[in-house]
Amino acid sequence: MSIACLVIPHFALRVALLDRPELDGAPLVLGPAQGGRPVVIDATPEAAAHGVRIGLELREAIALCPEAIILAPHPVRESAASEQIVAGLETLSPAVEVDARQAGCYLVDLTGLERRLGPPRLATERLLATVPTLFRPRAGVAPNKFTARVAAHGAPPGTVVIVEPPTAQSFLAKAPVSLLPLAPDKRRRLERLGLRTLGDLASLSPTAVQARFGAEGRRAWELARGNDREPVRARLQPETVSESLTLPAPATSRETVLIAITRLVLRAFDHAALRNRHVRQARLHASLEDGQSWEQVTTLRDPGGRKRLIEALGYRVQTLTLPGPIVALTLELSGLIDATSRQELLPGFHSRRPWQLAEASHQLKQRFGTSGLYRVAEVEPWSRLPERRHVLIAYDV
Amino acid sequence: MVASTGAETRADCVRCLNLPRPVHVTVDPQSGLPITLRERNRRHEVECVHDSWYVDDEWWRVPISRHYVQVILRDGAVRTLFHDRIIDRWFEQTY
Repeated sequence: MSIACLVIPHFALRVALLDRPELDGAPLVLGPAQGGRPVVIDATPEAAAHGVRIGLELREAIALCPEAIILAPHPVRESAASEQIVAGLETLSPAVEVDARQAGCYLVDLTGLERRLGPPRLATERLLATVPTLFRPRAGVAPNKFTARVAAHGAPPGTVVIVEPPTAQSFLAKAPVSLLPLAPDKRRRLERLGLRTLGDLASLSPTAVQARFGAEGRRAWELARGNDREPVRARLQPETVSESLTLPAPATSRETVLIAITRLVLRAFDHAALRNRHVRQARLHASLEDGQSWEQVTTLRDPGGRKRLIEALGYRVQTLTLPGPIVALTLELSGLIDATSRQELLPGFHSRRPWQLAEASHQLKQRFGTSGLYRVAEVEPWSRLPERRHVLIAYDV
Repeated sequence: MVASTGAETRADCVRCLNLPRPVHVTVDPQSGLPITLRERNRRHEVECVHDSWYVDDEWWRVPISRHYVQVILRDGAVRTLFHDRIIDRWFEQTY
């Protein structure tokens, strides 16, 4: 099994360069989103060389590096750029996973693609070629996801590092523990204990690591030894309907925005895909006059039609502080379901709780990808082994 | 008959409950019973052993041999531990 990992470090800053490519090589600092605390969110190696680091106050960063250029995040542009990259990778492999933990990290399963793409190095070079060079992508190929990610992080821009299965453990031994998918406090605790490399961690007993760091520590120990059985999970293609509108003049009032949203909703519900159907979630993107962008996701408590959606978005807009004059709006509707009516029961006939729970489960699943609601099911209640008696099953299965 | 929900059954939809959790246990060399228990940087002293029993099962495939011990800690908490006699390690598990 070969897994390729493509990494674009400082993804948000690289996306910002698409508009201003002449800034490539300059010390760039990513500032906060509109209204956020003025701290450094990310910095390029050129800025880091002057001592600028993540979490520093922006004024301190400017004092350290006066020539630093502060850029604002552009979530709409970032998601569009990421979508473009994934679409490019999907032309070569059907199994492309977007790493949810790190923006600009993509995992591609190369298994079975040798005849189409050639050996792993050639295949990965072809994957790299789908990403614009301005992003400075780099790649790693290894038998599992974690090792491939470590290899990619160690590769120079535009190159591929290949880790063969027999050398995977010795390769990982030299990598820093900062690459482990651990919470920052746990990572700091590892470093305080003098565990700087994955080799240091792998040399400990698994029981000792688990006793001190819990299940997360045990997983980190397994990863440090090169044991990662997680498959590449290709993204699901949710059915969506999208509508855009460019405003005739930059809008600053809520009333204008509301009129624009109403038009977008009505236009979206004219699509054949939404005929006799309801939606669960609406994502509203706004492009601002100063070139920045803003987006907000609204998840409906119950799936609703056009009227319900206009109402819900209207409430949202009423409480909204507009970040600046809006020049264009895009509405993306997802979680499309067949419109159903519900027959209410007479009081006392039936508990409403199961229905409410099922609805809550659907809503959570739409919002976060998984509902996190489970129910206890008996498996072998007579078993002498306690772990065999009951399991948790996802509520909506 | 229950109608199919149409949902895909996936491994991540099922979670085990009450899996044994490894713990560091210091045992009395003579009796082999726990005297201290360490978990997450905290050390708990065992006040007394309340009960103990053996579970030997599945000798026909992968044998399971456990010595369960219900202990009362110095702070009054009741814990159930077992010694996996096959791999010689201690675990905690509610019985």
